[in-house]
Parts: sequence; structure tokens; C-alpha cells
Amino acid sequence: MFEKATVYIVDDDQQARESVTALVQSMGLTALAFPSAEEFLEHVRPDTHGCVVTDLRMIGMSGIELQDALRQHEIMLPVILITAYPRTSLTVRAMKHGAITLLEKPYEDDDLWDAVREGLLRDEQQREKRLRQREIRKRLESLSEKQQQVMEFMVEGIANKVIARRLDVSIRTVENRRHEIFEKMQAKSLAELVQMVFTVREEVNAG
Amino acid sequence: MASITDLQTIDWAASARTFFDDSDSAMFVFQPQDLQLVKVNACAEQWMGISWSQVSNFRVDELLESDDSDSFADLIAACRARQSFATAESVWLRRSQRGPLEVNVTVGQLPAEPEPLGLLIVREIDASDNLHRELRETNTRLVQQREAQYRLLVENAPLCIHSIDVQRRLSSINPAGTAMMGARDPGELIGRDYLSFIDQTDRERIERLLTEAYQGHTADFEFTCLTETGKRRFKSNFIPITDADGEVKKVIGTTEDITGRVQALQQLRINSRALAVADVGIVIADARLDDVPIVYCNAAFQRITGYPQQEVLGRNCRFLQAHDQGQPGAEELSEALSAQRECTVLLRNYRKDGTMFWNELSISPVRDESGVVTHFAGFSKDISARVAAESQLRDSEVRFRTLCRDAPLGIFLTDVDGRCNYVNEIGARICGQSRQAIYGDGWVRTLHPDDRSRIVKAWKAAVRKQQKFELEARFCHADGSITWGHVWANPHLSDQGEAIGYVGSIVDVTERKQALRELEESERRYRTLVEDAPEAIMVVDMDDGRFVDWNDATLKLFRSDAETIAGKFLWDFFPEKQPDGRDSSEAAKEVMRASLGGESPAFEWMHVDSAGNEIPCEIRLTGLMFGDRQLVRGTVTDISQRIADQRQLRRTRLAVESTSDAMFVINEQGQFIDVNQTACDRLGYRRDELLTMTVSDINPNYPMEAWPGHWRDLKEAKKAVYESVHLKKDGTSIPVEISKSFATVGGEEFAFAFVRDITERKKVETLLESTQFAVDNNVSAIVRINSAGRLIYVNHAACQDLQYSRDELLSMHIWDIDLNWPEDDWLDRWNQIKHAGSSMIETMHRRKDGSVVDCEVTACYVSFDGEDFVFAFCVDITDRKQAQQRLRQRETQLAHVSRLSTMGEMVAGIAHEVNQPLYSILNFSKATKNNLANPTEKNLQQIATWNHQITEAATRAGGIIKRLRAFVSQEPVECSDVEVHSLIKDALELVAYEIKQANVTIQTDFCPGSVVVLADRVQTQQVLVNLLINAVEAMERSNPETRRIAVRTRKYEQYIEVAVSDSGPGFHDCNERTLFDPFMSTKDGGMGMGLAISKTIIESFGGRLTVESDKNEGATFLFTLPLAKNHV
Repeated sequence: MFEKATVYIVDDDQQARESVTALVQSMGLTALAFPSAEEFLEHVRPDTHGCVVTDLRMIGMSGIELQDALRQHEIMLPVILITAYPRTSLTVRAMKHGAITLLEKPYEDDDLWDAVREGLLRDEQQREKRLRQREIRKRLESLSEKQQQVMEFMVEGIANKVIARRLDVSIRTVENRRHEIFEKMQAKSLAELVQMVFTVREEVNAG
Repeated sequence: MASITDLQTIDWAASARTFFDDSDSAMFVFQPQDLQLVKVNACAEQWMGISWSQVSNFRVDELLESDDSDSFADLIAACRARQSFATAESVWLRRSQRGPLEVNVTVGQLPAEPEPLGLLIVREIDASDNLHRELRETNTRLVQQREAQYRLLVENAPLCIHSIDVQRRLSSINPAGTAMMGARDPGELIGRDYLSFIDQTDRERIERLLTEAYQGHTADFEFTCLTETGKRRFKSNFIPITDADGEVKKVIGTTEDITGRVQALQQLRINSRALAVADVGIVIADARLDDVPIVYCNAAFQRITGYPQQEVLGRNCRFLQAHDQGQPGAEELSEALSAQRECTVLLRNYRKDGTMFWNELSISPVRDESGVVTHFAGFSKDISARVAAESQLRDSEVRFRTLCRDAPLGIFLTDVDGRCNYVNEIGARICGQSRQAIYGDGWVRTLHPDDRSRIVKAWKAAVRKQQKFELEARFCHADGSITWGHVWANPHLSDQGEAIGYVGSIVDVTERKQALRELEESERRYRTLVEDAPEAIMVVDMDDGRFVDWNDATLKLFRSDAETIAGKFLWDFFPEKQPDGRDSSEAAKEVMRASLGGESPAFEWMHVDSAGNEIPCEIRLTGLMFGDRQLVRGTVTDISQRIADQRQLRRTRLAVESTSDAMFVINEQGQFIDVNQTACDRLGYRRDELLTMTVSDINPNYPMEAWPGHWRDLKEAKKAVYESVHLKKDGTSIPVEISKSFATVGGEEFAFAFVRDITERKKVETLLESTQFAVDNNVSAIVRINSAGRLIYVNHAACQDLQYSRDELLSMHIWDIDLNWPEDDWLDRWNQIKHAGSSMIETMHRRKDGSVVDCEVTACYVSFDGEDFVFAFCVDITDRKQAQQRLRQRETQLAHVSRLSTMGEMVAGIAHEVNQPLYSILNFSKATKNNLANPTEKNLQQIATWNHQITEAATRAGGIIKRLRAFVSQEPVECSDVEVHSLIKDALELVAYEIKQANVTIQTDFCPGSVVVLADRVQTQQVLVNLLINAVEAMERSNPETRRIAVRTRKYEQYIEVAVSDSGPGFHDCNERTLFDPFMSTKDGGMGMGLAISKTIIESFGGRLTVESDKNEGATFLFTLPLAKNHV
């Protein structure tokens, strides 16, 4: 399922880094290791896929700081933090910033496996979501200005005749435009159309 | 339910029936003999399911089931024996309608006729009843046990255990605590406000801790306690005790008296100072008590003052000043005491026997961990001898200066290199310069230029050979005039016979010179009449200066011959300048012209002969006019010999006058015919006074009537030397040694007496006697050893210490008693001591009984009367040795405790360091497991790699544990060869987590190669860890970007220097001085022992620990360690 995904491992302790790499490889996944957060940031791109397993406390940038830096660069890679001394405040902060989990080392048998799987899954979902958003955005862009006006009212749930009065056009015109909009957006129902619009807006808000 | 007591009191006949029938206990009446049931009550019928009529078919013992079949019989037997009831619990009732039932049974007797009947009462045990009972019993037992344990613990604990109630009052205290507080009874303490025991300085802090304790926080702290016996330093804690609803009802504390520990550390500091100045009197006064009383004084102090310890303790030091209060030194001292600073003063103190001594007292404040002065340490030195010597020196100096000032002749002193360092007014006047201009080498410039190099050369030669120096010199004055001075200088020898300078005199001989010249001139006038006179007579042509005629004496004078002289000019035999500085040819022309004008000038003249030697001459000129030729006849007399003769005479006279012996010339009647200046000075008479006196006037041993007999004896013996006494004019007497000799001069008989003042010698002899007394009765053992190693003197203490008699010791050699002085090495040792003058060694002496004592021996080499000795002063140092050893043990323990404490601080790091490889191992092993599930070739290869890494991680974890174990081990201190660089790397590993945690960069700068020192590995590592952790903590508030620790090593010839620098804020000046004091900490949580212990450790290996710090530039701790001998 995750054959193409890569698990990025960041740890400043060489032995620990190699051991996590070994564990990830043994899960049949591709692993790529970095000795510091700074070096990883050099490497990572917005379209990088996979998830990050990083030590919380490192010389230089810490795991939490790495997480913040990724978000700043709009890189949505899921992050799994590992620490020897979990503190509630840190855990809360990490989770708020969208970390998959914060593992206490040494962790239980399948904890890392579960976390990595969740991370990759979430990455996959995010990727699909982004693809869909892109598609919808493309369809939205194909709408004319007038069609867009009508669509705005439709999404707000305003009746055709009210739209006609507001735009000072005939009901017939509104109905024609409605039809064109459904066609261009490839929506089968108003509900589907509304969902499409909100999917895109959500992305805008999230961005 | 009826109780057993009820049963006993009930009148059976009257109310038994009701009781029997209505009871809710089953009751069975039976025949005691055959146990046949006789009667049962309703309850019993109900339980057992048997009717009244069936009763007789049962035996009572069949009802019950017991593990022990005898139990019922036992019960009955017990019942019979006691004539009362017997009870058994937890018996099973067998025949019950409700199945087996656990019951309590009671067996008793019922009064009946003809004989008593048995009664069995069976009571059901409720199951829950049973459980409660057990629980209760167990609980009670446990509570009782705990109570007992707790009481024992509290009552016998060696430390104070106390509790404080919510009103902050002391609610209990154990006996040890009561004793610690100095109270006799806990009642004196219980109920008092806890804070009232705490010294004002600590009260606020402890109150805060106590308030927190009531909120459930524990606390550990130290404080100064006001006990009945004074202030003590306590270490205590608060443990809040909460009740069931979580509220703190009281606070328990355990308290330990650490005054001794704090004092011991202070003692340690004081002791180390004291050891360095062993013969110095030491007093310690408590600054916290009124009037700063003395709390300690050492043996030397008692020896100096003559007061035994018990008379010193508790008094203020000023009692030593006795009636002599208000000395300037005392004021300075009290100022220093109130300012709490060090000072050294000189005081007139009085011993117990009232004698005064000069006490050089140094005091220094001793501070506790909070910087408060707790004690003053005083170092007392009896310097009376020095003061006396100084005052004597001053006196003699004054005498000397006065003499020099008032003497009629010039006097000067020089140092050993011949540079003038004193000249009196007259001397300066003769030289024609100010005194300042003469000092050093300035006198050279006052010499006549012609004489200068000659005199300087002669002077240098004399100085080099430390010989006498004497010559006549011309001194040029600023106004051009010349003074002839007779200079005489004698080397001034020290007691060791080395020259320490010159003492000299200058006499103005200008007038004498002139007088002589006049005399000789008149003689010469006569001689010119004699052609073949022994004088050189020559005729010179005034115009060209050529010799016209000369006699043999002229040739002899000039060391020339007739042919040579014919070709010479007169000025060829002149020096360039005359001694008086005039140009020779100018001066000559002048006098020659005068002679041609009819005068007959006669003058002294300096010629030089053909070899260049100067010839002092006397010349008389007569002008001869032959037509227009101007000729001058000169009569020249060589006066070298005459000058030499006069000099000789003067020397003799000077010797007589300036000798340090008084000289008397005495005639047959005992009258003084002549005396020298020394005699006048010594006796205080003028010369003319003495010349009217006789021997009996100054020597009480020779009254006039005894004189003729003495004269006869002297005449016969020719010589006599004896000690006597002379009376001075002021009536005092001086001891003298008189050397008399008898001589006949020109038919008259004289006695010459040389009298030497032997006051000093007498003094020395007296001193020697007292010194000998001091040696004989010294507390130290003193022995004198000759070059053969034989003991030739032993004092009383030596005999006592070694348990031999004096005669026995005097037949022994030093190697018979000194284990480190073997016979074979004797000569080497002897030469060593001879070379060094004196040396101090620690050694061991064997007593007569074979026991061995540790000794400190100071050996001094003494040469006396042509014989060489070694004086050995031996002090028994067994106690000191033991004390040192104990101290060493304490220090080792302290270092270990400190290491454990450091380890405690590092525990988080250690856990992380161990956790890290374990984490790796887990990961690798999980990965291995995963791969094994899918054993492809590639996966198996990976497993091999991972397996290797597991090994590495495990090795790493093991290494950490090993280092830790080594670090906290309590091995005896053992100095061995230790490689410094590997030691530093290990120390860095130990604190790796702390360093990483604090984001600190480590820079190492090691000198090339390995460096081996002789030290204890663990303790040295402790020092490094300590310094590194200090450095990390020092940078807590620094910018994380610039946190840096540099570890640097530098190798020097004999030692290595290790420097640990941080980039923190550095220290303030005040900290730097007290940094190494125990309990001094700049950190909030620090115990303050780290640096103090580190310093002790480094110094115990012969190194030094120092600190350099610039504010804002970080601090650098440096320590040195001596290189191992074979690695230097």
C-alpha cells in the first residue's frame, strides 16, 4: 500500500538513527535518515510524500521546531515525535500542531508501526484531497463571472426567483445558468455542488 | 443474649428456667460422667432438630466436631480445674439442621443434687463478625507492633526527632533532641514556638519553609539553632504528616547537629595554616561571643605566654597586655577586629611571671559558609630577641654616626664592592665635594686627574684581594686648589671572616707637605754648594731646553746615559702635568725665568725617568747668565725614599692610635707614660688626665702597695695575660683582658699594656651558659653527632624519648636509633647536611624497648673550634602522623560523598545515556524480528549488520555503566600512573548528556602525545566532572548560541596544566577569593563542597587549582599535576 512512500528519520544520535532506519526498513518501507532537522529541511520539498519520525531533543533545532518549520513552509508531512521524557505540555503542543503522536522511547512493539501507518495514511488522504481540490478549482475557474454570481447565491440556498430579482434578470435566465453550472461542475445535485465549493474553501482557510 | 457473668449471678432455682428457655444461645445440660444429655433449651431444639424426648439418646461430645478429638474432654477438664467456665472458639457444630455451623462454646457446671451437671452453651458466630474480629485483631497487633517499633526508633535515634503542631509549637521531641538542645527534660521545650529556637538570621527562611510544609511540601535545610548551650549549626527537615482528610496536622522533622562538621572544616583550614608555622603560638577566639573570648590555644602559645591553657580559655586576648593598656598596636588590633580584617601588630605583652615580651600578633578572620566571621585566628610570635637585637643595632648605629660626625678626621665606609656608602663632613671637605657627590663611585671624580687611574687601579686591586689600602692622594677642589689627603682603609670583616665593606679614614696632609718642603729647601741650598753632591745637578739651556751639563747622579736619577741625555730635552723627563695639575713645561719655564731674574726657586717637582716611572723630586734652581745664553742650573733630589719613610712612620702611629685595644705605657712607679686614643675613649678620660694617673686609679686589683710585687713578677716573666676589671671615669667598670709585656728602652724600664674590652665576650659566655641550659632542658630531644656518627651530646628529653640512659646513648651511633640513617649511607648524609647547612626530615626512631616512633628531625650543621657537628632536634610526630592519616581518610570519604552527590545531580543524564543504546537495541531487535518473518537473502544480510549494531549499542551501555561504577566506587586512594587525555575524554563522556542538554559546544586542545601523571584516577576524574558541570551551570543564563567549554592541556617540564574555560558570565572579585571555601556556592541548589574538595584533591597530588576570571569573559579553572617521574 505504501510502497512509494518514504519515512524520513531525523535523529542526532547515530546509533538511534540507524536503529530506527533498520526498523522502518524491516517494515518494508523506504527510509531516509538525517542527522539534524536543518539538513532535513534542506532536502524536503512541498510535494514530498511520506511521514517524518524525529527525535524531540536534538542539538540545534528540536523536533517541535522542525514541525513548526515544516508548517511554515506549507509542507503538510505528518510528524511522529519520539522522546525519552514525554512532558504533558510538549505533548499537547505537538498534537495541536498536528503531530500524529508523541512516542516515549523505548516504545511498545507496534507503536511505531501504527504511528507510521497512520502517518502515511493521512499523507495519502491529504494528497487525494489536494488532487480533488485542484480538480474542483479547475472546474470553478471554468465558470463565467455571471455563472459564478448565480452559484454564490445557490450555495447560500437562495431560491431562483429571489436570485432573479437580486440580479435583475428573468427566472428563466437563472434557470439556464443553473443548468450550465451543474454541467460545468459535473455535480449531480445541489448538495454535491455545495460540498465541492466548501472543499475548496476549506483548503483556502486551512492554507 | 446473656453473658457469662449473668450466668454466674443468676439464682438458678428462681430464674434459670426463663433464662434457659428464652436464650438465643443453644444450651445443653449433660451428665458430667457419661456426657449423656439431660436437657436442652428451645433454641437447641430448633438448631439441632431434635425434640425434647430424644435428648437422652445423645452424648454431648457427639454434637461437636473438632480437629482434636480430645478438645471437649480438655474443655471439661479445664472447667473442673478452674471451678468455672471454660470457653472454646471456632468449633464446628456437627449435628445441625443448617449444616455444619461454626460456633463458640462455653462449658460450665450447674449446681445440682446429688452432683453438679454440665452445661454447654453454644453461640453462633456470625461470619462477618468473625471477619471483623480477625481484621481488628490483626490491625491492633500491627498497630501495636508499629507503635513499639516507632517508639524504639524515636527514643533511641541518635538524631533529634521532633514534631510541630499546627500552631507551630514543638509538640514532641525525643531524648537525643532534648540533649542536643541542651535541655534536661523535654518538658522545657515542648509547647514553645518552634521558630523561637531559630537564630534571627535564619528565621524568615525557615518560617517560609514551615508554611510550605503545612501545605504539604517537604524541605531540607540547615540553620543556626539557639540551644541552651549556645548557638549550634543544625541540619534538619520538615515532613508534613497528613490525616485522613488530607490536611496536614503536624510536621515531623529530624535534625542533626553539624556544628562539628562545619567546625571540623574550619579546623582543617586552621590546622593547615598551623602546621606551616609550627613554632608559632596560635589562638582562636570566638567572634560570636561577647568580648571575643579565646576558645583555643596551642602549645606554642602556652609556651610563649607561660599561661596554661585553662587560664587562657574564655579570656579576651588583651589580658596579655596586663597593666600596659592603650598601646598603639592594640588600637590597630581592635580596629581590625571590628572591621573583621587581617592585621599584624607588635604588642608589649606580659608572661604569667610578669616578664615582658614583644608579641608579633597576626590575626585573620575565619568565615563560615555564609561569609560571617565566626572566629579569629591569631598567630603569636615572641620576637623580643629580634626587637632587642634591632634596638642594639640602632644604638650602635647611633654611636657610630656620632663618632664619625665628631671625629677630627675624615671617615668613610664602602660596601664590599668598594662603593662609598658613607663619608663624614670632614672627609667630604678634604675631597672638596658634597657628601652626596662622593657616594658610590663619585669619589673618583674628586681625585687629581693625574692620580685617578693609578688610585682607582690600586683600590680595585685591594678590594679584590680584601687587603688593606693606603696611599696619599690629591683632591682637586672646585676653586682649583689641591688638598693632599692620606687615605687609609681597612676591610671590615664579618664574623665569618668575609669582607662586608671597608672602613677608612682621610687625613688632610697638605700642611705637613708644605712644611716638609720648606725644610728640604733650606737643606738644598746648602747642597748646591757641593758639586759632587749626591743630588742630580744639571745645567739646561733656557732657550732650547737642552741639557748643557749634568752629573752622574742626574743619569742615575733619570736612568739614562750620557749619550742619550745629550739628545734629550728637559721636558722629556717631565710628566705632562705636575701632581698639582699645572702643565709641566709651562710651570718649568716660569720657575726658570724666575731663577734668571735672580731668585733661587726651590720646589717639589715630578720627574719621569726614561722608563716612564714617576720620581718625586725636589729642585732648586740657580740662574746662570753667560753672555746672551740663559742657562739654569738645577739641583734635583729624589725624595721617593723620604716619602716612603714618612709614610711608614705615620702608619705605625696610626696603627697605635686606631687599634681597638687600649694601650698603656707604664713605668716602674705604675704611672702612665703614654696612652692611645682608644684608652682615652674607653675609660672616658682625656689624654692629659690619664697621663697624671697610675694603674691603681683604674684597676682596683692593683692598689699602690701591690704594684711593686706585680712589677717584679712581670719583669721576671716578661709577659703576662690575665682578665681583670677597669674602672671608667663615670664609676662603671668593664671586664678586660690585659696583655702586658716588659721592655727596656734606652735604659729605662717600661711595661706595655694592651687592654681589650671583653664585655661582649663575657656576654656571649653568659649567653652560652643559658643556651646550654635551654638545650639541656628542651622539650625536644636534641642530640649532637660528630663526623663519625657518634652521639656526643644528648639532652634530657632525648634520654626520656628513647628510654636510654645518657651513658648508654653516648656510646651509640645515630644509626643505632635512626632507622633511616644507615651506617653505609652515613657519609653521604653528612655531606648533604654539610652542603645544605640544615635540613628537615621525617624519620623513625627505635627506642630501647624496640618500639618505633615517627619523628621530625631538624639537622643543623655546625662547625666549631675546628670540629664539625650535626645538631639534630627530634620531635615526636606520632600524633601528627595519625592525625594526618585520619584527615586523609576523612577527605577520601568526603570526596566519595561528594561524588555520590554529583552523581545524584547527573541522574537524569545517566538515565538518558543508558536509555539511548537500549532504545537502539530494541529497535534493531524488532527490525530483526520483522526480517526473520521474511527471510530473503537481502533481509538476512541486513540482520547480520543489525546484529553487529546491537552488540555495539550493548557495549556502549556497558561502557557507561562501567564508568559510572568506577566513578562512585569507594576504593582506597591509590596513586598510579594515569594518562590525562584519556581521563579527560572519560570525564566528557560522563557529562555528555548535561553538555548536550545545555546546547554547549566542547572544544578540546590537547598538547601532543600522551601525558602521564601520578594521581588517583577516580578522584582526578571527579575534579574534571566537577569543573565541567560547574562550567555548564555557569552558562545557564548565557545565549545558547555562544555556550562553549574549552578544555586545554599544556605540558611543562615538570607538570601538566589542564584548563577548563567557559563562556559564562565569570565571577565577581568577591567570589573569587572565597570560591574554594567549603559551603561557598554561587549556585542556588549547590552544596558548595565541589570546589573545596576539588582543591583538596588536586593539592593532595602535589598540584594546584586556581581560577582566572574576567567579568563577562567567562571563567577558567586551571589545575596542575606533577608528571610521573619516569614520564618527565
